[in-house]
Amino acid sequence: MDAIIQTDKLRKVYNGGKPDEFLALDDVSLMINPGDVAILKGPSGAGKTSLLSLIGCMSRPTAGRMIVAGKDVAKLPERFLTRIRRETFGFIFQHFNLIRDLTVLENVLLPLYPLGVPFGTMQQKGMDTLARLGIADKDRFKIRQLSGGEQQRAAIARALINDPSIIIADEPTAHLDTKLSIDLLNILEMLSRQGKTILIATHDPLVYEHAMVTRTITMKAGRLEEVLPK
Amino acid sequence: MRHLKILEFALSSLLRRRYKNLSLLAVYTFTIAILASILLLTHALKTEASRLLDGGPELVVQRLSAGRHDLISTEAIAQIRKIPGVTEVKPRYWGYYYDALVEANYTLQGIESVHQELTMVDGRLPAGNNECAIGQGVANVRKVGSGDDLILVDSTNTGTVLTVVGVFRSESELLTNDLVVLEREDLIRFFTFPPDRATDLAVKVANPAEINTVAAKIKRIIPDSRPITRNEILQTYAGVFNWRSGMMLTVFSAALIAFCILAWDKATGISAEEKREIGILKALGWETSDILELKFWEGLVISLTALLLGILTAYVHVFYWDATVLAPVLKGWSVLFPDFRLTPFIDFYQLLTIGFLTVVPYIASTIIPAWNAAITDPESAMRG
Amino acid sequence: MNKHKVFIGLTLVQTILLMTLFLQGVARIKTFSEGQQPALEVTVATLQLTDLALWTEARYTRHPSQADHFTPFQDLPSALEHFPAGSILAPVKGKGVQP
Repeated sequence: MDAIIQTDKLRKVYNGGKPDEFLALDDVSLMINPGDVAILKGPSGAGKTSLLSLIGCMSRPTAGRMIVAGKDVAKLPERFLTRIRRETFGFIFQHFNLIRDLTVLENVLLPLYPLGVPFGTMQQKGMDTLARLGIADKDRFKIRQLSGGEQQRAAIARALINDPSIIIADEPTAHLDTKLSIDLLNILEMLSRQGKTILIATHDPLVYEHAMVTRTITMKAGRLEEVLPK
Repeated sequence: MRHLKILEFALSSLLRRRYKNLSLLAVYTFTIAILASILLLTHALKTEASRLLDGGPELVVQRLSAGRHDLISTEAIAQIRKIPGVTEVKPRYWGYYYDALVEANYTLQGIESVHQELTMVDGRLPAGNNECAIGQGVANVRKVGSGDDLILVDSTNTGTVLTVVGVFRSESELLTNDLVVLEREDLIRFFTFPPDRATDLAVKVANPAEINTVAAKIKRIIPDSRPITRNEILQTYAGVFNWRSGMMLTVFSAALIAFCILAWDKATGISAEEKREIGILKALGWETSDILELKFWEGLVISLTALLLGILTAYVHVFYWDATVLAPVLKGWSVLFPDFRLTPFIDFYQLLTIGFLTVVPYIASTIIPAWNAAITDPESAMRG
Repeated sequence: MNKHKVFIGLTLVQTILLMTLFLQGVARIKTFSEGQQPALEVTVATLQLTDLALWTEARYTRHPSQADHFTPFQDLPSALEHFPAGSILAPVKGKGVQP
């Protein structure tokens, strides 16, 4: 099976050449297969978020190769990178990163606005996705009017609106209680069963000890320490 | 079309900070309305002046004495009449009268007994002694009308009773508001003009191209005279409300400073929250051009709406509401001031200039600060 | 999802309103040119008027076209402009014939 994500000696340096230069990743080579649920483990500062950013085409590597869904993305121009990001990835951020004064529907549809999809189709897709996550009745609510769990579902809905093949979640349970964490994991498990590839950065045992996990990548100080299974 | 989708999101974005953006819109609209009102009013006045005063005397010859305007001898009429090209020379008799009762200044104008009747007079012009026709402003301030008596006090403190036989119609206020038209003999008697003196002389020249030449000749043969050509008269009104004049400069400077403050406030960088939002949009698949288009729409919505509302308000204010807000400012200390029932002569170039100067800088000051965040990697924009 | 329609609609309404006012203005100009203007021109010619009756504060504000160049100094050489209308009237440059 061809890997859906493949990195080769990835290196990421922030603020290169400046006094606050920082080596976030060094010599990271790994492979993720389609349908994998891969966990990135490690202490703070290990480089988990930086690696997820690179894989998610949100920033560029300083050196190394990266192949995503068959495309070598390391040196692609910005607009192609954006297109890949849009078509391939769905992001669930640590703090959700929802826009507070917009409605749930407006937030969920954010990835669709620049695509030129007809308004009717947009609306329908948005409502369908909200319904899948059980919050269709909250479509006109402002984000600040939602509970933590509902916001989480809205964030997931936004990540799913373009039907991506890869979901990236950065510390998704960091600010959730146990019940909401379990809810989230159930949703991710459901998505995994639908064939989506899932990448999660976490140091929550509730997540990395979950049965759906197929691959565990341990990082320390910007390098890969261990990858299981080998 | 994706542009409409981005416009939709831009509007959602603006409505998020509803009160702030509405206040911004209100202030912007108000500034444009004031600016546009002044431009519309002054242009309309100037155009009307140039159209109407084009029928006035071709040359007016004054006399100067000790640097001040003085009465001119009627002997000059014969001298000027001899100049080739001059077809007619008529003395004008007019002066100013201060009415202490209402603290207003009137212009007293004398006319010959034989004259054309005017459709702009309700009633008629004076045809004999102790009659007068008055402007609407005089009628209003003295509360007199046709058939009533108007008493003016001359320099010997003697009252002269004049019967009002005509009142100039309000359509002619711009020209006649403060006029009191008397029979020439009445005016000469009232002001105790010497028998051989007139206020000034009106000269008719056959060929308009020769007016300046004739003026120069008059100056030569009557050295203490001051000829004023019709062109100079029209130039005066073309130059009135010049942007260099005190009031205009003050208003335009205030507006310019307001815009600069607005633009500076926007241009000194976007907030951390806005940067974060741009990062989120980029992470979700918005390209740099999409983000810049979003900012473009945000800027255009406010500035275009302010422009249209501002010009609409200004137009209605000046041409339907008689410039009621501006008029007291322009009135100064005048007790008599005509109503601005102006014909809507418009200089579209001026309006286009306002449009350009208000819309373009505002859009630029919305897009440019966002540029940096828009081209940054989403990860750095989101980290802040 | 209708905000863009509302905005475009409102903008169109404002534009049409403005166009209507401009067109009406053209009609008013025509009416003026054919109706009042000739009568006013006759008034100017008959009374030999040279100025608009705008500011009746002082001689040079009432008849700016007839005023001399140094009128604001008429009281004393360095006298400042003291009539508000003077701040609206700008002195005219380049008069053809010097006094």
